[in-house]
Amino acid sequence: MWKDSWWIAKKELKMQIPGIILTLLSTIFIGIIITPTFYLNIINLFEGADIYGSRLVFEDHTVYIDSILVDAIFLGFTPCLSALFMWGPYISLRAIKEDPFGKRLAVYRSLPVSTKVLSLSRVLFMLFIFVLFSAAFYLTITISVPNSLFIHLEYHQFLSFILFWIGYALVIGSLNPYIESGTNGKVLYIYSFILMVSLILVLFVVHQVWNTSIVNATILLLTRAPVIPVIVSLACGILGVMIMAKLLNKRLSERDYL
Amino acid sequence: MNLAVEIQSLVKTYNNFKLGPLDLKVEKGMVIGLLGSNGSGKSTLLQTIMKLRNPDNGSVQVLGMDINEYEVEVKERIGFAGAGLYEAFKQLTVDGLAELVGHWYTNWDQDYYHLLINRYNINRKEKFAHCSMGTKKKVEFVLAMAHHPELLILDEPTANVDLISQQRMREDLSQFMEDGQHTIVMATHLQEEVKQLCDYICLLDDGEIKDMFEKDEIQNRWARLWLSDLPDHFKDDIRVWQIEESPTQIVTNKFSELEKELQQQQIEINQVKRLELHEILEYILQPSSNS
Repeated sequence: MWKDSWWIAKKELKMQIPGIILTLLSTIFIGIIITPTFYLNIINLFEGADIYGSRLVFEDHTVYIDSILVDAIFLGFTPCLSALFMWGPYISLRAIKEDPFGKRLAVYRSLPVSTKVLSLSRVLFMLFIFVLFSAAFYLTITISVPNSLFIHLEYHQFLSFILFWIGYALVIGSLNPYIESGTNGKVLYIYSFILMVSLILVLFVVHQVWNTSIVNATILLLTRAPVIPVIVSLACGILGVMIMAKLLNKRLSERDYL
Repeated sequence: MNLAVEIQSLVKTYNNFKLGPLDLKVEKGMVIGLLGSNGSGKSTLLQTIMKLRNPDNGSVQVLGMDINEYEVEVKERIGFAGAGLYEAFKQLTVDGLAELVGHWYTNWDQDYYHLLINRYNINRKEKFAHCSMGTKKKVEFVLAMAHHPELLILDEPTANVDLISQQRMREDLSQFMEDGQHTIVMATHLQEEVKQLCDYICLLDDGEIKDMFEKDEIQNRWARLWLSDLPDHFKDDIRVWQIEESPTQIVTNKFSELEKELQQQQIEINQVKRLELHEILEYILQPSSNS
């Protein structure tokens, strides 16, 4: 089964090379763009936001722009690393009507390919691009960030931080193959829209109501306990992928492809 | 009975369309033609047999096995062409598609694939996206045949195909049927295809099987008769499907029976014309039909 699934995943990867390159370049670009803000955010956290932070000061409270941007990237963007977000259906409204993922699966379903092989191939495809794009994103940040960051954050704490967010991204991102292959083009857009609205709501609640930043909270947590949160986060990610694979297999055996 | 396809109480509903409930049995060694107007449910039925659409109710057995339980084993022995599936991989060349398809069949015959590709004058290096509509149909047909399936499920296999290739496809299908162990279920609109290939005709209308009959039998049964006179009691006879005056003529689906009765009543039959298949289908499928 693994061999057949990998065969499909490999074929798909080969066919999506332009999409992979474009998404990879976009990921690196976003990594480069966000690094100064990410760096500033950590400096703000440890040296006082009132000195360095980009902020909007209101009568009764202050909004720190850096931490909102960094939260948005880590909460909203990192789960996208499990999809070719700069390619095909994600950037073309035709997907709403055409359901390109379903049509490709229909070909395999007309052949002697079991749904188990098919769902596993989707998982392998997702994991491959997720590892590739995550590596590109975090390597870009690691290489671009000024060395002075590591005065405040030790290397192993920084690594814990990366792994923690990889776990989170995997939990949310593991939903992508299910949405792509288990539903249709319309749902893909509805899902993306719901995800965006949820992100805005979460950011609003966290920053306006609780007056804190999620990324900063994780940094503080990981400086105190750099191992257990990472294990929990990665375990949740792996569990998310496993549950999604099961659900996807069930869905693929029940759905209509045409 | 040795069945290639057995469908029981099948129901499939989507959008505003309902297929079934329908029952269908196809014996091995037979060619069954699914006929009906556009939107009558032919493609949906074929796609449901292939599990590309999941039925709401009912069961589908193919080659003696439940398609849900033995999907991979069953599909190994089926060749499916239709629905323009390969459009999803249009960036691949014809050979690329063959690699994608052939990988999954233990029986895939690369030599036979090459033979068919040459026979149908298909450029193997051409991208599927650049192929004409007819060539795409031919590629689908070749890919359905190249693993020597036992059952062929074809959705309008010769639509848009040039006349020479159409004839070759019919020849290949006739050859495919020669040993009596193979079966074809095909949706078609072409009379020539039905005449040349089909043993049985299954008429679909609005998602339901309206009638199923042996092809030769039906053409013997239906006729247009020119009569010297038509007694009144024949006007309400359910065997008479159409009456026209001056000259008096009727259309019947029970030609031999009626012929005898007319002779007994000494009504002269001036002329008999067997109906073409499409004319028969028109009568059967018209809303106010006698059936």
